Amino acid sequence: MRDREVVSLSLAIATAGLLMLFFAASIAQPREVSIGELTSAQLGATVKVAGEVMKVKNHEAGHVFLRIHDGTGEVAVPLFKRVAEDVDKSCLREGALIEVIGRVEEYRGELEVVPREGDEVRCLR
Amino acid sequence: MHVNNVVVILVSASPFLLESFGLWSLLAFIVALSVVHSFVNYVPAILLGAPQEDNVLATLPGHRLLNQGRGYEAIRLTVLGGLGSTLFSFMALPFLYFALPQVYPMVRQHIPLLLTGVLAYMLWLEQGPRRRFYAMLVVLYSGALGYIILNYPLLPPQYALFPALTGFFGISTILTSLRLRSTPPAQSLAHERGYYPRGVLAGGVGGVLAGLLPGIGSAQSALLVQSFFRRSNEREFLVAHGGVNTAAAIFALLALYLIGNPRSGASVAAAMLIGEAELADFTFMLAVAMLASSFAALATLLIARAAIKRIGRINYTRLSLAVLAFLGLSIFLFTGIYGMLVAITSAAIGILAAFSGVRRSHCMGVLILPTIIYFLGV
Repeated sequence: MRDREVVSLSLAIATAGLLMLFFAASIAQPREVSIGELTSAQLGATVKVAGEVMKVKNHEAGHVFLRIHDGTGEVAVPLFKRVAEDVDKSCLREGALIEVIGRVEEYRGELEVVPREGDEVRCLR
Repeated sequence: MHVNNVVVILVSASPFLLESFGLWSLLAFIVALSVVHSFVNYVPAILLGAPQEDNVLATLPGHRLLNQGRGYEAIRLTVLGGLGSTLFSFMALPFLYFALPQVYPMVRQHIPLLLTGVLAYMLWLEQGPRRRFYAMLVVLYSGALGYIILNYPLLPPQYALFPALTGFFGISTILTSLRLRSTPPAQSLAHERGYYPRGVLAGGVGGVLAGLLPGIGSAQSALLVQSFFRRSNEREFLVAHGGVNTAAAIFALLALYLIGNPRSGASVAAAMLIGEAELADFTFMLAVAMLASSFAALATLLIARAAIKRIGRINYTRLSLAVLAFLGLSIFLFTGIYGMLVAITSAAIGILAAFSGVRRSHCMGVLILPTIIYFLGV
């Protein structure tokens, strides 16, 4: 096989692989975990957690910082301005039961679940 | 297994380990582990083309020296860089102690710009429009792959980069050398004598970037360092590369102490054990790192000598196939079917780079593009 053919073949395989991964990513579901199960080993992972809003803090820049608990533990859910604007406002009150899909991150030594889009925060009650 | 995986296991077992060994022993173990790993991991990277995230870029110049019968010298150069950057780190600490808290917030704001500049510079280094086109294609394909694996739950997060980096730099290198039927010639323990001060300095500065700045790990920093050395200077580059990882491991401890930001797996673990680091903690960790780097230098050279003596006696094609099988099995066991798909895709991108005549280091777009996107908040 000549070099030019290897280039074409590798380009075709890479394109096909990327398309398949895009498709798989579009249908992939995040893992549902209880808040108590969250550990630093999951940093960077996308997870789904559900719990009751304990605390709502509105930042002057438009960010909203939630704290939720589910009986196994509690975790911070920061909603940055762009995300907070798209979230159903009835979720942003103490006592609301919500479901959050987000990336596990760490801020000042504490784990948090950070949604990237408004529709990743859903009111259950 | 990467040092960060071991650290995760140690932290998980820390209640038991703390009771048995005490805080200081566990802390010393974690710091020494990260420093020794920054030396020893060049042995498989150079001799077998089996790199990890931190040392992928050293694989190619290392492999070139291996093909000249100078694999031991390649490893020795990375050891020299590691020792030199340990000394550099020690000397630079007083300056960074005062400068870092002032400079850090300013730099953090400009990370996307800085990384875009690095990418543009790397593309510019390719000669001619055809090569630049292929280089850009490799960066974009790698970046798209990185974005998928880092942002969607296809792979376990602790192993998310494993299949991609193995595909880009391990599998593609082995497949290319199998196609070209390249077998390393008889290896010699001879080496050129030299101190390579530019390499040591570049490694130390690269370590400062990797250890202290958000968004820039050892791999991105090595990419910057690499751009300062042309092919003719591969010895200097290996010294610099060896230095980046060790200096990054040491400066990550400084970042933990000065700005409270753990920048490596080991410093995350240290932060979990001691909370907010104080001067006494930092001094202790620094002393352990210095001792560990002396030990690691000796250990790496001994391991490299033993491995070099055996590599001449084995059938390299058979070994390459065995390594391929081992990598494939590891990827499947740790990351499943999606990991296999990522590995095949990334190996194809690595081969695309190799056969279109552009640097395979453009595959580092896998980390750089997602980092730019993350910091832009897109």
